[in-house]
Amino acid sequence: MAEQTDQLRTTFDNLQKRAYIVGGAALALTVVGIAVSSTSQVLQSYLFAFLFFFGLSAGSMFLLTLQHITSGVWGLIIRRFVEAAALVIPWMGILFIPILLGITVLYEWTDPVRIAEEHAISAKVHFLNIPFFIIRAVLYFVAWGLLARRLRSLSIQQENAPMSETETFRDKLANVGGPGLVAHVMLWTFAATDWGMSLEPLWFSSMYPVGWMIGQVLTVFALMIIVLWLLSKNNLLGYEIPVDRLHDLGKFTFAFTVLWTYLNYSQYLIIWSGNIPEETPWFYERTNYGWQYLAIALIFGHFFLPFFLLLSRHTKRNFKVVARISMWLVFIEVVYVFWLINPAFHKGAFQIHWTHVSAFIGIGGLWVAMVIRYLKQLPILPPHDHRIPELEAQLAGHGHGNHAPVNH
Amino acid sequence: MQSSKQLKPPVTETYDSLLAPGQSLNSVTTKISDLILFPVLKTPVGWIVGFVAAGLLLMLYLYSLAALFTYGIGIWGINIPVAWGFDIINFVWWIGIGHAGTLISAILLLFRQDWRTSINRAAEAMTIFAVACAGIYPLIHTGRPWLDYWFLPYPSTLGMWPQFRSPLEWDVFAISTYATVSVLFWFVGLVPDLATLRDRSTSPIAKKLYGLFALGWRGAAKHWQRYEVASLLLAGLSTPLVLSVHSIISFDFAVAQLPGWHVTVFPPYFVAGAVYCGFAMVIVLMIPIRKWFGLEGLITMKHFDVMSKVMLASGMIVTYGYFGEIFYAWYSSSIYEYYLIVNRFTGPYAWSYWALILFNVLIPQALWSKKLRQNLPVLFFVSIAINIGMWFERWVIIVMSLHRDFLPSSWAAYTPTFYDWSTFIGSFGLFFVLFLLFIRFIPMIAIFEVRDLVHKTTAHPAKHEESNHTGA
Repeated sequence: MAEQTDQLRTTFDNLQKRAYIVGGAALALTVVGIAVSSTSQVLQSYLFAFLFFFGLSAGSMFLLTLQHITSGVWGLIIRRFVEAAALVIPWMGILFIPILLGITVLYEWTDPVRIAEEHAISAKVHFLNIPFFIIRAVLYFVAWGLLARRLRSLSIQQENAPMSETETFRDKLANVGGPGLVAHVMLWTFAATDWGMSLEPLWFSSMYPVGWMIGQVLTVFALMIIVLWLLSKNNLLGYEIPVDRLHDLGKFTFAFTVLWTYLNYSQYLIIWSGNIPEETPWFYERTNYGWQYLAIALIFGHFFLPFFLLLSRHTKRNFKVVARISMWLVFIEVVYVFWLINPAFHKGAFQIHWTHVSAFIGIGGLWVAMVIRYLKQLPILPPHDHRIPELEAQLAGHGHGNHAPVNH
Repeated sequence: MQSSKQLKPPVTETYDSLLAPGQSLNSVTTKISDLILFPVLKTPVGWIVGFVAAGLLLMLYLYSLAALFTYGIGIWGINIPVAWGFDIINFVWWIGIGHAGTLISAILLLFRQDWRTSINRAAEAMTIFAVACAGIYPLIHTGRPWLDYWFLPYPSTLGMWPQFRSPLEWDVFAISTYATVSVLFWFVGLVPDLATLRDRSTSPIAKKLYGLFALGWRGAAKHWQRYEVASLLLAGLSTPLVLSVHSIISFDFAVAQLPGWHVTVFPPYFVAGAVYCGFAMVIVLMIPIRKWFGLEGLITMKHFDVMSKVMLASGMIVTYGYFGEIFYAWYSSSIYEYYLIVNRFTGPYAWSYWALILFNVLIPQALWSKKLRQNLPVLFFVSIAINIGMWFERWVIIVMSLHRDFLPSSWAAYTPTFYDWSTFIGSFGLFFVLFLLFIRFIPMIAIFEVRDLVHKTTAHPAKHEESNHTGA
């Protein structure tokens, strides 16, 4: 159960190789876009793709710290995956460099003319200025990196320690996980403000980082279901997921779908009711000029569809069905991030460019390859986790009927 | 209860289990029902003293309301611009307290958290009494409570129609739905226990009364099956209410344009604050009750540990809300938003803002320590601090935002009057009268749910482990 099989290693190796090649090629193609299209277009596409995949790592960090402080077996099943995705954050710091190089193209508040003519921008100049923006970005990546590394080094120590010490490690990991979750939320709040909210420097909303963060966590839950399904389907997981644990992941996905809607709807309602000039343009831009179709798609695709599909106990316990719903959820989150970011650059007309796709595949490929790099290092089910006996009891005590049917 | 003094065994605390060792199906039923089933005339002195004290406070409350109805809301300290004062602060505070009960009974049921079983009954009762205390404030705040039926949309010859765009109108529906569902949920959960009391009581009057409310429960398999379905459905209905009621209360403020009210993160931050304060109140009530009635075997240290963790988590969300208010007010570069923060930090009511930070942010950090979480005096003190801090939070949001708005020429101070205080303190009378009646006549711990837990932990320990997986 603990060791990675040769078959899994080969699959990981192949997948990683392909991801590097596809990702690298797509990024190269994106760079070509500078010549064919424009630098600003390429940077805009790159920022969107970066923020989506960064969000997957951020959502993973949220769940990694959360599952260390709660004690459910659901956390054991996803632990290694979210750990690997969180470890990618420092590498995302390297992928952030093009955004720093293009900062004057992307961010309106860097423009001296705009600073001079707009009081609300000049008033923010102590916070929104290029050196401080760079310092902050470095701090975020360093802090996140240290947190991910600390949790990883405890994981490695746990692997090498006997099972008898499992409770010591549980407490150690929880002691890092609790403050780590607090740190993560704060880091993301500032990062979301810097990287996303400040694209429209006149606008502000304290809900913005929160709504987006919950979307990230939801997407990571969906991604976990997909990954576990793919591995189970191809007999690569090494154990069968008990159907109750699959049900847990489904319930979380359902709950976070509702939570995402609640937060984003509340933000809309408050800004719509207040109807004040600093705030309404952000939504006005995103609900007119063709962008409203994405907004409507989000209402139905990010809420109604998954809500009604996941409401049923039956769908949550059917691996194949819940994996399909999860794929949709990941897709619709891409639409959400696109809708958050791109209208900032294209006020007055809906716009999508082929570099959005190529940058997405490019960063996505590298992200997947990096995650696999970390996944290969340790068994995908941590053998000395304190929840292992509980999982084993569930696997043994249940007979065959209680494993989640995979439906090849 | 009457003989608890001579019978009480030395207390041994249980830290890692939801039941102290040695609990059996029979001991649970006997323990809980013996707290109630004894003649009225043998009611212990302690209870009577408490009831009289609470009754006196209730009299103060009724006197304050009578004065209010006679003279009008001019007897309060409210003015223009501070048109909302103690009435709305207390309304939000009380309704927040109610939230823990709903969270424990509904959400934890859906998540199959066994630690809810020993505390859910009392927490739900607390919810209902807190909602009763809360609901009165907006009704009397209108100044003409005899016209409150105008809130309801009905085809009136007056041509009156409520303003459905106003969150104050949403409150009417949110709170009445919340109260109805909470009472139903509580009552449905009571039925099997009322039947137990009917069967065990020796007094014919008690037998009749408990029998009446037990609705003919015989414990048949069919009854249990229907009970399970009903409670699951009610839990499903209550779960969105935990979020919606306090979100709508936050809209009362957030849809306005006033700095300090118009904050987009308000809904989740209000909900977290409600859970925070509600759990603190559950702990404040449970620590003495557990001791007085010798319930250490049923409400263990594990319960307090888990509740403290929920409190810590919701407290951190609330702290995040305070941070968000300050940071985005500064980031907004709006002079009005910015001044709000200056006024909170240094204005005439700055002491209350710093009191809020002390009670709600600094003191509860003690809960990070497992040692302190399991020290009941410390936990009691922290919980009281949170209750006070959450009251200050509503004071800061309501009074401090209103008293200095956009126009300095319309600024004013707010000072609560005697009647503001008496209406607040008196509402504790209503709450405690109801709560004392509850612990005297109704099983304060759900007998059949604890029996179910005993069954699961003794008969099928492995199965119990498995159902307890979702994590806190």
